[in-house]
Amino acid sequence: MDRYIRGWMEKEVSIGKQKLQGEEFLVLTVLTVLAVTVRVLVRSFVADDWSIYWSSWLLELETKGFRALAGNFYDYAPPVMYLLYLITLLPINAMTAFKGFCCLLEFAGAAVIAGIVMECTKSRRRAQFAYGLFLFLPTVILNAAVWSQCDIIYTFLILCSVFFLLKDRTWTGMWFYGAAFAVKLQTLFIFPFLVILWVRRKIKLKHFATIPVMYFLGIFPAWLAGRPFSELIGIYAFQGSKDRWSLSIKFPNIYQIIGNQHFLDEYVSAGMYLVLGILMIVMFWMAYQQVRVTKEYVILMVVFFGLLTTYFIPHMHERYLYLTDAFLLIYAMIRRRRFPLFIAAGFLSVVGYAEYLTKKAPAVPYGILAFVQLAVLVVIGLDLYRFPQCRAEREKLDTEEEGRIPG
Amino acid sequence: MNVDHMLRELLFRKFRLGKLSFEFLEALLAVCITGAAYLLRTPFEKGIPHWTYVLAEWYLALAAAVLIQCFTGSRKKALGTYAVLLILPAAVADGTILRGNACVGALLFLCALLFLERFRGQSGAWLFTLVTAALLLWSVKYAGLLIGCAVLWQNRRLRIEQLFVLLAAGGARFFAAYRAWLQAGYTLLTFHWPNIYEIVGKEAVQNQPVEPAAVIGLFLTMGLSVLLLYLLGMGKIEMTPVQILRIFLFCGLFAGYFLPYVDQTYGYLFGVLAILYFMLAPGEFLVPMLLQIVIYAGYQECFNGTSMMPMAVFSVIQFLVTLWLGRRLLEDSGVGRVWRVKS
Repeated sequence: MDRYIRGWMEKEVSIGKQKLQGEEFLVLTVLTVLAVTVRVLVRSFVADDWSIYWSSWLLELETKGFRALAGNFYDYAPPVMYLLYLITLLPINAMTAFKGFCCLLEFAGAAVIAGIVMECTKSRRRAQFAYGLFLFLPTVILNAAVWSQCDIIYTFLILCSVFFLLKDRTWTGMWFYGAAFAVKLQTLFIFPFLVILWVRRKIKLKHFATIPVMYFLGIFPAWLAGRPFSELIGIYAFQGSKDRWSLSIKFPNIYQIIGNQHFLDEYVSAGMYLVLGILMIVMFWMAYQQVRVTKEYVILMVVFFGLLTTYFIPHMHERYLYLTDAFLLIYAMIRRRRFPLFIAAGFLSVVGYAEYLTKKAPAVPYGILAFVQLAVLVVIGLDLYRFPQCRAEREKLDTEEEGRIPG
Repeated sequence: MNVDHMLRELLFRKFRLGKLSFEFLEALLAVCITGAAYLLRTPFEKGIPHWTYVLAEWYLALAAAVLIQCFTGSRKKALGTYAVLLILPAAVADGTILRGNACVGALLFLCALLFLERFRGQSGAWLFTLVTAALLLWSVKYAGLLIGCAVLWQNRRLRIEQLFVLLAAGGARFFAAYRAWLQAGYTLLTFHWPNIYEIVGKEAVQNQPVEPAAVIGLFLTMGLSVLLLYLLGMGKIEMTPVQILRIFLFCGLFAGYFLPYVDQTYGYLFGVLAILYFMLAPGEFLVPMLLQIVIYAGYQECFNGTSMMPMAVFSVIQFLVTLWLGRRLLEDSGVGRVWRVKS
């Protein structure tokens, strides 16, 4: 029996095009089963967001059907509402269906993360670790299965976008980015990386057309249902005008250091102009940087811009590092010595989640967490700054063609 | 022609205006950052400050850029300095929110440094002396610069006559200000500037003929300054731009850390100098980064009335920054080596 099991573990198993060893297959299966189990066990938790917002939206959709989308009761992008509408048609509990859909995307997202890690490192082991780590990241478990949030939807689309961009399938990648923008405004946090890719001749101007096209496709059914076009166009602007009761909503950024209860309206505009100015300076510097745009560099840019923008934009929520955490995991898998950063970022995010879900203030003040977050940003910024100066790595990349995105 | 190619070519295309040559992207950044800086000042209740102050802030950014161009010869670094200074949060806090005029002092001192750098020899040194003396006469918050000037004299960048002028101007203002302040019956020892008093307690003693903490702090600053000068005088500092900036940054922060009755505007000049310092020594980016947080923390406590984090945290951060700069300065002067030999 022992010999049989050991023999099986060393045998190769094929799943589609992928070939795995028996032990790898076993580990992945156990991880998946455990990840499913934990999600099933916590699915009945009802968060405030569900009882206050989602359930009332679902009720509206249930009573009025698709025509309900003509109303202005929702401030999410219409594609999320279509999902809710589809859920009302299902003969199962709406919350379970919604959480189930998001959890499915989590598994798909974990697979894409594994794919990106595989693409960047060519290491199956690292890809498998990335898959497992993403599924067991506390914020990932809490986000959908407990809190009934849907950050995985746009994160998954962005992951697909980057995956295809790394594969040099620019159009597919940009369609995914456009789709992500149609779902969530937070997609724009990392937008500057696309501008840098354009400057570096990796994408063309025409590819950016996917963003408005997907946005219009996203709002089109809601317009057909009867919601005025002007409202649909400005739905993100309306989102931005909400949550003005604090400059940082349990998010460890600069406002937790300088104060998040004053100049609530003034800092909205001032914060945006400040971020704009900072991005101009950073992008100016990056445009002149002598750097080979490798796959690692692309991932690093996504992480950097994700951290930088959220650190200065006002009214950030605790969930807004979800996307960056996913890419930080990929980066930590590429550069193992950055793994502590991934742990730190994961910890920082989970503090806000815990406060929301338990209604208890964290033991560590957010100001301290904001300094830790700043340290993470500085380390990532330094990696970006030193990237082209690392001669040894450049020489290595010169000899390793697979480390590049084909131009 | 391919539009992408054309636009990318345009970004890096060189243009010439008289003697000035630049790339399109540089001009684009200069224009866009100026626009963003203007917009950054619009959302506040009182609106944009009087145009003369806006102009002074713009001149400050421009003077800093020219100074960095002189120091490094790099147009991109100069442009970076210009861009950063235009959107500096402390500048917005002082000029737009508080309607302060700290930018004028910073502008004057940058001009003084520019004279020192551009006009080699005694004419530059005298211009530097006169402008700095005017600054010292204007406000006591520039008293720390006096220690820096003394270090410049020790290292033969200034002559004794020039130092006497500076000592006379700074000393007169210092004496007049503290004579009045010590008798004014202030209830606080620091006014939103995160220094030692935020750690040891900033409440002043009331109903006593003398406020001991303020007097001790005042004389502690003077005594430590003399010891510092004595220590730095044992070695020799090469007067490169980065060393000059380090001297003024350290001396200014050092004095402000112990002087009583200092307010949040004390940090403005040093916030600006820290940005210049970063452009010359990018490896020491933590100094300007932490200093900006400390300075803005002072301003925000001033206009919000409260601070999100205890001000003592910012005092500790400032202490660490000052300590770091002091350590670097001692390394520059080679005092450690001289000290070992002498002892």
